[in-house]
Amino acid sequence: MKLQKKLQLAGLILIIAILCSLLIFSSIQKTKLQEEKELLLINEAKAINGEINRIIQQPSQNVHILADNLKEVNSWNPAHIQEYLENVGLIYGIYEDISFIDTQGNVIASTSFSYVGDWKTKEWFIQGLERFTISNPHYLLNPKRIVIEFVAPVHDQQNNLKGVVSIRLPFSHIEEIVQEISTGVLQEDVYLINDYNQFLMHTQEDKVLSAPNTEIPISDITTTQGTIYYEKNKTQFISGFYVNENFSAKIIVVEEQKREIFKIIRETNVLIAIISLVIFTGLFMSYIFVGKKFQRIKYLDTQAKKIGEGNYPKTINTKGDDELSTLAKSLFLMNKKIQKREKELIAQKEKVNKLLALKNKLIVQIGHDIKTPLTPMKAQAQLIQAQTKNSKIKKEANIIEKNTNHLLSILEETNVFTQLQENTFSKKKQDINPLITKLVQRKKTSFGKRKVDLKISKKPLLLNLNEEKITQALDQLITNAIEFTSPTTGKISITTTQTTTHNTIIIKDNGRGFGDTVKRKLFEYFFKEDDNRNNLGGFGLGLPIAKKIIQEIHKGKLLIQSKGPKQGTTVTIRFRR
Amino acid sequence: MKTILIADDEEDIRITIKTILESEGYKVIEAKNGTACLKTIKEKKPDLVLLDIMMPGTPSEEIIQKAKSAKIVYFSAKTVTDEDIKELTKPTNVKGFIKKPFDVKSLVKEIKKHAK
Repeated sequence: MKLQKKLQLAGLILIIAILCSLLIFSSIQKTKLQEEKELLLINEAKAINGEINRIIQQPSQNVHILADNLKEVNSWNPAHIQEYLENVGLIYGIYEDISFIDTQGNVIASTSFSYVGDWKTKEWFIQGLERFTISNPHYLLNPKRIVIEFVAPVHDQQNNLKGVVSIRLPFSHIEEIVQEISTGVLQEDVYLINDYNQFLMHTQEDKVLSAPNTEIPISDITTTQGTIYYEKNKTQFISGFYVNENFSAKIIVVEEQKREIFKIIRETNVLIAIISLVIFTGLFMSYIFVGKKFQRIKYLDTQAKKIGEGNYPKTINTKGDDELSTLAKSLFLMNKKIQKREKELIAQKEKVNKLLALKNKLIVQIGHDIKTPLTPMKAQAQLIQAQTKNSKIKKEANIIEKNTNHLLSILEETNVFTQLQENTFSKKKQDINPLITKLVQRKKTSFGKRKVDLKISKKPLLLNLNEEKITQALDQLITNAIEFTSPTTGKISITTTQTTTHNTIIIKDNGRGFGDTVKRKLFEYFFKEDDNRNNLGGFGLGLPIAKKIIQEIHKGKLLIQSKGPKQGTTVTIRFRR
Repeated sequence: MKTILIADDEEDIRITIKTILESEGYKVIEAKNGTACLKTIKEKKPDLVLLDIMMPGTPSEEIIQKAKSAKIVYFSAKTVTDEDIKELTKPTNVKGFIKKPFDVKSLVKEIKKHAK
């Protein structure tokens, strides 16, 4: 991946990471705020409960005093009790319904006419009696009449329970409580709900007495305090509640959750937006900055490539003072130095080439100049041998001829070798088989008594050949086979074969072979296996010449193998088809 | 009797070849440089010219061009490839190429072939 792409990807990952962090942060913040809100709602409910307790405390005490005073009554005559109740009420400033009910539930006396009757049949009263022991004051909420009933037991002087004294406070008292709450500490929605899950009072509305509420899941409340969630008109709500056991009511503080959450989210979103904007601006600036630097890197890359291709730039812009500028300066210097070195190398190469050409020319010239005097020498030696009948002279002339030939063969090898160094050779596609046959025919006299086995493949071995050079190489290899086999028992086999992948020529003899020491030096220049050969021929360039012709000019493979001294030699020439 | 012109700047070579060819029954005349060679060809009209490629005086290429009617066999100690020989013997008046040094037998054979 390119560096620019990598940086872009890193930037993208950075943005995603930052956004994720912000989301996680906002979610944590949200949860924290929600928990705080829940706690606040419970505390509010608790506070309201405290207020209620405080307000209802006073009438409760009044009921106690009334009950205690009734113990002083000597006559349990209803008329007396009635009178007594009225007087005590007046004394203590209790103006509401005051009644005395016996242990059977019969109303003995009451300051209110409406209150006289049979309480035994009233369900709410029975439930109240069952729920609260009659020995303590109670607050009973009458579902039908919206009153608060304060009840306290009355005992005679012998401490026998005679009945209960009851003060009924109308709902206005609850209103007073609610009024106290709503004008006091708390301004929120507060509901007061009775045991029958009826709404008794609401701080925002007039007094209420509704059917069991279905919107607020009051029945789900199983603990004495906590929060509940619910939905009303597609708006989510959260409410805190507290159960006042003495007052037998639930206080519910309603808080619209969504509004609050929206507020939080809005605030968080603004924060995220600001942070994102800052990050994006930063990244954008970095992108532009990095982009400019990348242009610079691309420029330097182009210049470096030009240098690499030898298309040297005239100058390299090194503006700036950062690391890239340092690199540009180094590149600039490198450019100069390489150019200088290249010039030096070219000059040196020309010098070497001139020297090589001179060397080759010298060799050719020496060859020519030595051949010129050798020409009459050789011819004269041959003439003497032809003309004389004196066998001694004949023999001596033969020595001259032989040595002349030796000198000539050295010159020939050297010349051929020199020629191979500087010439290119034209090639054409042709069958090598006829060339081999012709060569073997030509060398017939050289084979002497050696047994020669020529096996030519039926299929033509078509190769891209320089006829003269390949013949020269083969001649050299066959000459070697002749030279290193016995003139009488020598066997030479020449085989050409074709496979799907290769054309192969194998020259095999049963001659001297060679060991590992010789094997390593076979293709070395001027290597001769034994110095005695000096008088016989070669200059030690024969195999290097053959190798050069086969491997370099014809792209073939030349392999010379022997199992060891006196084990014969196998020469393999292989060309890829 | 056929006349053979030997054009070579080396006297020893000229003497040797003269000896060989005279013993084969040819009349041998000599030229020791290019200029003399061209002159002799014009004057004596030999049946065959044995021409050394590198000689002082008139260059061999010029002799070939100017002596169109003469039969010429090149004669050289230069190291040449088969292709070089093909190139050198292209002109119709150049009949062959003898490499120096030569075998007496092969020289005689070559001369006999062209000096009919």
